[in-house]
Amino acid sequence: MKLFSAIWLPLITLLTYLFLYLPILVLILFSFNEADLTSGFSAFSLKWYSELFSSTEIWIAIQNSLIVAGFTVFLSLTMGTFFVLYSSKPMMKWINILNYGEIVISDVVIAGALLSLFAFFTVPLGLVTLIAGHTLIGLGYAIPIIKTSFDEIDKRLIEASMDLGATKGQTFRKVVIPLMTPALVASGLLVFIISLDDFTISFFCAGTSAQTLSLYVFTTIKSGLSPVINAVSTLMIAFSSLLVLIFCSLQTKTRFF
Amino acid sequence: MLERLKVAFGKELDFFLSVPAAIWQILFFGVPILLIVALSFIQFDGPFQFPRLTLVYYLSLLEWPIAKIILRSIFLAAIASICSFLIAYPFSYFLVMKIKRFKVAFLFLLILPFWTNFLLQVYGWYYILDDGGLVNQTFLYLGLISSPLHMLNNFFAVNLLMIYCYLPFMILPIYSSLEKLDKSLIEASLDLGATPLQTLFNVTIPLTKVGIKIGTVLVLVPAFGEFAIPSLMGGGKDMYVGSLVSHFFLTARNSSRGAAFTCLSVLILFAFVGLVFYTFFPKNDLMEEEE
Amino acid sequence: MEQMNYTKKVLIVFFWMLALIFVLFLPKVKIFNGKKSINVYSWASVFSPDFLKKFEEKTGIQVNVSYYESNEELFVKLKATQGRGYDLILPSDYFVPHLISLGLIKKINKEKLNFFDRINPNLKGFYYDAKNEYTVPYLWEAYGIVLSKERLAGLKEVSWSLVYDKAPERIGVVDDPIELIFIASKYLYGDINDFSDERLDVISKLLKEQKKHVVAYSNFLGDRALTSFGCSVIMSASSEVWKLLRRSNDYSFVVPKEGSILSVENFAIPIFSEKEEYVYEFLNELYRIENLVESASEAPFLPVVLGVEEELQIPSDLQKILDMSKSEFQKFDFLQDVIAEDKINDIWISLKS
Repeated sequence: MKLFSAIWLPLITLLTYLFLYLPILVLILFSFNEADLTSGFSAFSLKWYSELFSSTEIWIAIQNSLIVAGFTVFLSLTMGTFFVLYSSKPMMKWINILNYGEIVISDVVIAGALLSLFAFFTVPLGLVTLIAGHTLIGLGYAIPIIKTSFDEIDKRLIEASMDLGATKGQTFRKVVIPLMTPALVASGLLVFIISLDDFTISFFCAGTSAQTLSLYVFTTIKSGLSPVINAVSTLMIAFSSLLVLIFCSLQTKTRFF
Repeated sequence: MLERLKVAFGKELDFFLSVPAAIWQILFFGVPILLIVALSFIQFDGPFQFPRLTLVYYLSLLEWPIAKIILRSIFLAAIASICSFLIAYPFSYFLVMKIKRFKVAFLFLLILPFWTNFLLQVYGWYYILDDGGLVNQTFLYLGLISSPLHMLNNFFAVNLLMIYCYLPFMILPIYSSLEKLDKSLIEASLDLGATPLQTLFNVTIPLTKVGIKIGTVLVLVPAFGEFAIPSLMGGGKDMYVGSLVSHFFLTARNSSRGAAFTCLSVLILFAFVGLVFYTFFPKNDLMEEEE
Repeated sequence: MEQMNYTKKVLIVFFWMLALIFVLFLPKVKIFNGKKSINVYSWASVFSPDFLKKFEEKTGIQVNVSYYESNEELFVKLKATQGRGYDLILPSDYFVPHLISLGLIKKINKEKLNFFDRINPNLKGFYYDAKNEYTVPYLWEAYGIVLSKERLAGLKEVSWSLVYDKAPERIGVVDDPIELIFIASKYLYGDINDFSDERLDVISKLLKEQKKHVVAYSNFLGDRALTSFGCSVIMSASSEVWKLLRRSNDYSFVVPKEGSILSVENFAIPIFSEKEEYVYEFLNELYRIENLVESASEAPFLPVVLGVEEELQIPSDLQKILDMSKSEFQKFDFLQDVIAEDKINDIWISLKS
């Protein structure tokens, strides 16, 4: 057993990290490759980055993804916070049950059901329907996080504020929300990434007119490789790393696991 | 202005502010699910006739091809779960027990791939697995093979990507469970004469059952309905539950059959997960069960 | 317990629901701003945003494009609104007869179109609109086989068997049941007139046989299938392989001896449109050589208009198709929706299970 823990465990861990990072590293590496083949690194070049910045199609896709993610975060956080702060006990209970339901049912079912809803009521598919779907998922993640953070607040602080003459609204604005800021930022980041990464709901509910990053990469993969995607990946990985860094530093202040 | 609003609403201001979230979830989750269930049972005979209840859509699903597709998805989900568990447990064990310093760094490195766009990760694997890609180039160079291995568009590729995508989901709950474990129990077991292996199987693993359970559910459920990975990595040759749902709703535009199939697969998924829980995680009244 | 004012609560719920519904249907709201405008209803990615902007700047006519996902959706929409609300649509070939017989589209005044004579005569006068009274072709593609010039040199003639039952080990084919079935029918029986159950059975078996050799089903096969996936031949539409043929001289696109399928998208004007003049202006602008060249560079499609071949650098294999005589061209068949949906589904699902 000593041998096992001395050699095999670290080895498995190392290999796992390698496994997790291999595609990412390859992507970044080949974004600087001259040729657009998978075989062999031919020469260092930044041409894919310049092509990235001059291609309108991919920017429209990125733009759409960011718009959807932005609105999703805004809606999830505002509706979620108000829900946690102001909802009555029975409503909270029922919505919790609904949340559990969402987790147990796979993405595909939710996406298919949403599509049926939109088709049945002839809602035009596009960015708006995407935002609707993403916010649904976002609420499912944001509400538990915000609720946990709210529950951890020392209730005496709220009492004290009210005793000193503040209304409930003022108390929430000036006392509670500042106290919940780490959780709010954390859930905001989480919802943002989930929306940016999402593929299933986009595939079903975006229609053909709204192109998001995930969908763009999907069609490109199917039709052939384009190293412009590598350039996009590198930038997005850098961006995600930043977000994860922020998220992790907030983790030391709130535990929601 | 704000005051007048408050007066107008009276006690219902709270309700006004909090209900949108509830409406959202009901409208975009509750209603669609009900709609799907309803669609699966209702047949519209014609524009002027009253719709009637029918089982015809469900019956049309009782064919061998459909059953094969469902079985294939179950098989895939099961393999993905087992493989990720086999990797996740030792990995988490090492991180929890043996890493004293820089744990945060390790966790950061663990989470980062999880937060990279999933499609991009799949794309990266193309570079590694295709005929001219990393693995083939290396093996050819080392002389291990004489012609490229075809590692894409088959079950191997689909499985590999599934494990790749779902590994973090298995690792995090197990890690969390192991973290909360009282290490002194392990020490006690070793002191009392058990071998490390016995301790592992009789003490550690049972005590981290909650984490394993959560991890299993987090992998089984999405893996069963997964359709992007089979589509991109499987060459579109075999259908899985996800591909079939996508086919019914998007390609064939047969919402009723799609609805029936969706309901059926959800039921089968529940049954399958229930079975897994019953076999591997029987309720033990000596332990606290926490969801 | 506080008094629950249920009326107020119900009102609140209604308020939020209305707000939500309003936002959901916002894209459908046409902003009336008195500007000159036309409403175009088409597939996605047909018009480049740059072109639409240029057009508006040049003529002052705003182009509002909405999108449909399929011909069926277009059909349902048009029937429901009786053709009102849209000024220009882009139906596929097999849909045009439906639209004409239901009186949903109006005759086009060809004199107003300055490019009509420039259209490749091969693409005019198909069965669905023999005198081109109602439609103007815009996009088209043919299905064929792509293989290396080496392999082609070694064959006496190219037959669809190369991608069906006599296929080499690794092939790539399209991912569309109707296309596969129709081409199979052309291959086995030489025509697409009869889809009886017996024939469908044979076709189904053929498809299963084909599957054994298939590496990947995809509608976007092109460059990579031949290199990354190690396919030796692929079945593909002409538009997909354009890039490949332009980039590499090693491959050929061939229309097999049994004949092939053609697919044409046409412009048509719904019957109640009152903005024909603007539509003609739009089309005249769209079919200008420089605009066609620009569109084709973004999403390659074979031109319907003559005289652009050089600028578009059309590969010789595709040029051969364009240069075909009228009689040869007429040998192409069109896809039709003559097979029952259920039967197609059954074949497809059992193939892929």
